[in-house]
Amino acid sequence: MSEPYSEMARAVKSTDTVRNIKKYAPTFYARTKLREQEGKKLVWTMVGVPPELLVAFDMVGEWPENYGTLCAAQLIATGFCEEAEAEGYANDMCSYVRNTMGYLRRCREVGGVPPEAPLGGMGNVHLLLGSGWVCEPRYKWFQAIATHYMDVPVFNDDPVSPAWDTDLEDPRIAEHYKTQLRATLKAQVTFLEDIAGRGLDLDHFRIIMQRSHQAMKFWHETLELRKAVPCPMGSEDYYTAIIPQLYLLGTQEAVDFYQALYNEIKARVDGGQGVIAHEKYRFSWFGIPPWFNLGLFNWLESLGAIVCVESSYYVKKPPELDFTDPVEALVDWIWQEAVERQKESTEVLPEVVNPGRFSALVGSKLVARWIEEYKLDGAICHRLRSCRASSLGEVHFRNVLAQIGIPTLIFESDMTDPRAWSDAQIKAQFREFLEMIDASRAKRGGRG
Amino acid sequence: MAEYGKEPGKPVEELIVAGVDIGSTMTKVVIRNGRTMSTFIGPTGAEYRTLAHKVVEDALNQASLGFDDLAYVVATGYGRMSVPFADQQITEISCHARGVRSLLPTARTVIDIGGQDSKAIKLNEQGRVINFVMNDKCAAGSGRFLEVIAESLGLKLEELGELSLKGDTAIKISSICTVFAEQEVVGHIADGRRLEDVLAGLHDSLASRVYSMAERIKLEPDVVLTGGVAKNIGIRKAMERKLGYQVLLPPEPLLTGAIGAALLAKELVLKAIEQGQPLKKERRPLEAARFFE
Repeated sequence: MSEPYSEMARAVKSTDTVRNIKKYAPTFYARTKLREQEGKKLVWTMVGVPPELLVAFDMVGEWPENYGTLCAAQLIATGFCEEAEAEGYANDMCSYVRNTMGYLRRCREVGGVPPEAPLGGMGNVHLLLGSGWVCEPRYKWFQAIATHYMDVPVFNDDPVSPAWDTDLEDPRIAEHYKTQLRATLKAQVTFLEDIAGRGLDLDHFRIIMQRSHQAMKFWHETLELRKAVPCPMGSEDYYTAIIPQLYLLGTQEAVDFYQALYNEIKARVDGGQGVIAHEKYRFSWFGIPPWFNLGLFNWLESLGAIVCVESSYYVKKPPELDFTDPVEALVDWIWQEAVERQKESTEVLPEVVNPGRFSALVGSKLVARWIEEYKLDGAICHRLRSCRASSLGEVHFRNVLAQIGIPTLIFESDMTDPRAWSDAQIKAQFREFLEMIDASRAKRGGRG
Repeated sequence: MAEYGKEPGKPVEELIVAGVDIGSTMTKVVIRNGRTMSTFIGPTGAEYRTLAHKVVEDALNQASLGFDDLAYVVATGYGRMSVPFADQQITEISCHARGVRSLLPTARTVIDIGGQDSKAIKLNEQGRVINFVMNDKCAAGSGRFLEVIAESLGLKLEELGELSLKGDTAIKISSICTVFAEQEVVGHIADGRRLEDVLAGLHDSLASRVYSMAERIKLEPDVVLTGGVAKNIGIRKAMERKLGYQVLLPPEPLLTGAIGAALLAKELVLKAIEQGQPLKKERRPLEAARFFE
């Protein structure tokens, strides 16, 4: 019997660097094998936990969220989500969580890694290192795993989350939150020291932090290059290029990857080369993408539309940091990012603005600035059925953009669960959106 | 074939054009011959996906016209890609907007409730689309919602609206899911509630769902109701209660997309003539869609 037909398509990448990401990030892609190496502790962790800490303690990480995107891309996630629902989890709970819980249920059922699990599964975990960053299901997620599926140590950090109307420029308030950040990091480090059986080597950690900073500088500058017309890199590359940013910070691999990507994109800009020859529409993307259908971006490009900038995982310019005390440098980095985010995003997402060094969430003020800098024709919002946190501010966001005459398309689906996808309906909405922009240009006599 | 009537305004050219709207449930064809419009409405059905040409053939036969008489054909609706003989495909939002504008020039918002989807379109004073919204992956805000309930209660779809108006106390249907709403309706009937009261609540429920979707683009009068569900007087009244003012209805709510497609076809021809440029014609012979070619 042939493979069932699917409307989902995997993305065709445009850049050589992203196509060859496995060459630049071997430890990430070979992590299944690395786990087998003697003495390596396998940590399940999540975005929001500083990956530099894992590098510092020479631990191998696995990110169930990333595994969810992989399962989604391979169209395996539906089965795991259904398993989780069969366990009793609600079908509108975060699909990353459902994918993981379904995977674990299957592991328990078959007494090992289920055969359908991509990359040989997520490995035998020694500890869980979670974070309450972004949303509360993440905070309870690892706790639930440790309670129901495996008896391993678990640590959840308690992210600093200043109230939306707090004056973060006030040094007393800043110090209050930075003290909390220090305490959280210290507890995280102590937890890892206990597991690793050794202390944190500050000289080594300093080098790791400097590498991290260098990688993020290259990455931010690459994103800036996407302001060029024609746009040299689209979302189909971006959403793979975020892998080192999320999982490999502190490694030389991340530095090398972003330097190579910067060089390639710079050469494209200098040569006037874009992803598509005849660029008709330039957009920003708001929200996590449908990982099971990243081919959507290629489809948009076939219509002359390119996404030049994404709110999800966007990296702002890293602040200048003093690395004398690398732990303090990390505290300062996270704090400065929190301050910046509050300036530009708080009016959108008051209760989930908490620190991190990249923004899963950006505010309408920043996007309004992007409209000008990236010469955008509109914004696309992916409303996520199972991610309330990232979809909360989209109406305000749309209204702010409407005030400056920029149209926004809000369409609904999900990041991991393809059952929420309706191909004909969603693509019809995209076509309508492009037609609306065409009609608006025809009236204004703008570019067509 | 029905005589639709005469369109206001004086056409510049006596052109014959066609608009083909292949919706999820019904296929609509409008042939515009000079100042008159001939229309044809038939069920879409699964086999019609490959038989759009037959529908147009029937429409042409009834208008005593041949395919070659058509200067331009615009296809719209979900099935528009299954119309290989069309010169151009245009999305239903643009076509509905154009169609409604020609019939009811004061329209600022169009709410279209079709067989399997619903949408709201905001127009500016010139009739240009300035915003739109469509329902999500759910049947609850569509005609299918009413079909399911009618089937479940053994009623004709056409009866539902009138019956709902006879309700004294609308019984609230709280579920937003079609299947659960169906259970709720059956449960209320089993509990001995009056059918008319249950139907009144059901119509309120659908109208509320469509209203909350449509209000995202800030509804502005005049509001025009189109699509097959617009023919249901219960929905119309429920929507008016939600809005607090009357909605407008075109003479045949099913046809606005096809009328718009035909008008856009004509405008494209006239624009090409005006600009002295050859008309972009993609049209192949009047034949079925060939998939996977």
